[in-house]
Amino acid sequence: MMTYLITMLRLLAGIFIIGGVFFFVAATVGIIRMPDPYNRAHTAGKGDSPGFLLSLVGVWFYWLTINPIESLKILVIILFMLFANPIAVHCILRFCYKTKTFWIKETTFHLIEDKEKET
Amino acid sequence: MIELIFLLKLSILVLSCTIFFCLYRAILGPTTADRIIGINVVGTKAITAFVFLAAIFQKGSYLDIAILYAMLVYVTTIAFVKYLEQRDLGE
Repeated sequence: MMTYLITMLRLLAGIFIIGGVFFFVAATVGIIRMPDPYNRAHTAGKGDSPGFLLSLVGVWFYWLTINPIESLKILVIILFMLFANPIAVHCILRFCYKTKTFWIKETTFHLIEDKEKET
Repeated sequence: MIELIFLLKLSILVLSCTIFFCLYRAILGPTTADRIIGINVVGTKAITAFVFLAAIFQKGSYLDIAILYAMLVYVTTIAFVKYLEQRDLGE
């Protein structure tokens, strides 16, 4: 029973780690290929969060079979990054928006001044 | 057992290649925001690589370094953006 559980946990760990690395590679392709900072920040935020989440959960499954008490540290990392990474990307986008960094023609959004004129 | 260790080593290799490509964006990015995005993504991938290393060597003390680095990357990004936005860290 115990060996069956360990085998299942390690199989799950492998699948989760492969998924996480796939998301990281997708985020990198987006960061290199996208045309302006808004799209790059979008791919960085969208691709990184599931990437580290899946790979760290996978390592957590593997770590449960070695040393269950030490594995709590991985949960601390996951909880912290889950809040910190989207906040950091949001702050970068707000910096882009307030300093009016260049955007390509296809990127459309309402500027704050336009909204104030409409209302 | 051995196959999972090999998978972790391969993942560290792939992550290192993607870190190299993100550094391209961090060094040659046309705007300041691109550079900050590149540094942030490199930090996230480095934390994941640290956790993989801890699983390969089976040492729990490596996870402490990963926690510390996560906090450091977050504070670095927020401080950079806040300083560039307001020219002041606001005490």
